Amino acid sequence: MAELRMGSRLKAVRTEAGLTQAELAERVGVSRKTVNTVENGVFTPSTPLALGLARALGVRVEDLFWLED
Amino acid sequence: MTEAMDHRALERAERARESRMKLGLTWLGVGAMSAGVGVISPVDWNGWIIGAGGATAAIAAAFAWANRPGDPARRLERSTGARERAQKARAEMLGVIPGTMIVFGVLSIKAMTAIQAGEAEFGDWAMMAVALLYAWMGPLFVMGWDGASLRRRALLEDELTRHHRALAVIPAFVVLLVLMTGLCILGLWRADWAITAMPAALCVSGALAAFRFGRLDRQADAGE
Repeated sequence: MAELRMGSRLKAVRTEAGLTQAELAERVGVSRKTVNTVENGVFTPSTPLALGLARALGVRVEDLFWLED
Repeated sequence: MTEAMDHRALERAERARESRMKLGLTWLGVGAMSAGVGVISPVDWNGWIIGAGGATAAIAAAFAWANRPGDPARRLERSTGARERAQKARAEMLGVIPGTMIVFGVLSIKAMTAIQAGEAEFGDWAMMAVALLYAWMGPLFVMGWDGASLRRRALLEDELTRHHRALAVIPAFVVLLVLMTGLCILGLWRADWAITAMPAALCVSGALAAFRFGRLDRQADAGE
């Protein structure tokens, strides 16, 4: 099976919501670095973290992340 | 006084206290290093170097202890941005520890040689003990098993930390396996050499874990 790669709109959605990385991190209960690395595609979040980010931004998780072809 | 002003005053006081504590820790390191240099120094009056280094380290340790985090620090920890401050403090610590570990690892070789030859003095035993202590220190910080990390676990532990921990510990473990295998083979030929190099090998492996963890932490901060 080929390696699954995840696409992300986290940065765009966060910016649209008018939140800084630190504010989003505070809402989710993680460090700003965690949000930063997820946005940069350096770190792939777990399912609970992805769901937490979506809830904090008031969107569905599939609006933030998807599987790239 | 408004809450915001109170918070700023608290932050200023905490920064000043933290600076004093870091100064104390720096002098503690200088004192300990001086004592270490005294141990390996060939001069007749090396007892004076060890004494002066030891006294400096003791005074500095007392100064650092007197400026340890107190109530204001705990109040700040409950405030916004506490996670960032706690992680920054850990990253700073991990920036210093690997170099110190390597220095003590190298210094331990002479001490271990003297112990193996049956010519050890108190300083040699002390140096070996310090090297072994430092070999554990880096990995303890990386694993979050040191006292400060255990107290602030809620602030320091998250998914990214655990990911970085795995990335840091795996190569260090491979290096430890390689070094110990090499020392095992060396020990079949010269057992005394293998024993002599063991504290240094432990320090190098531990330092690698601490260095990589600190580096990953700093990289995660970049590119906002």
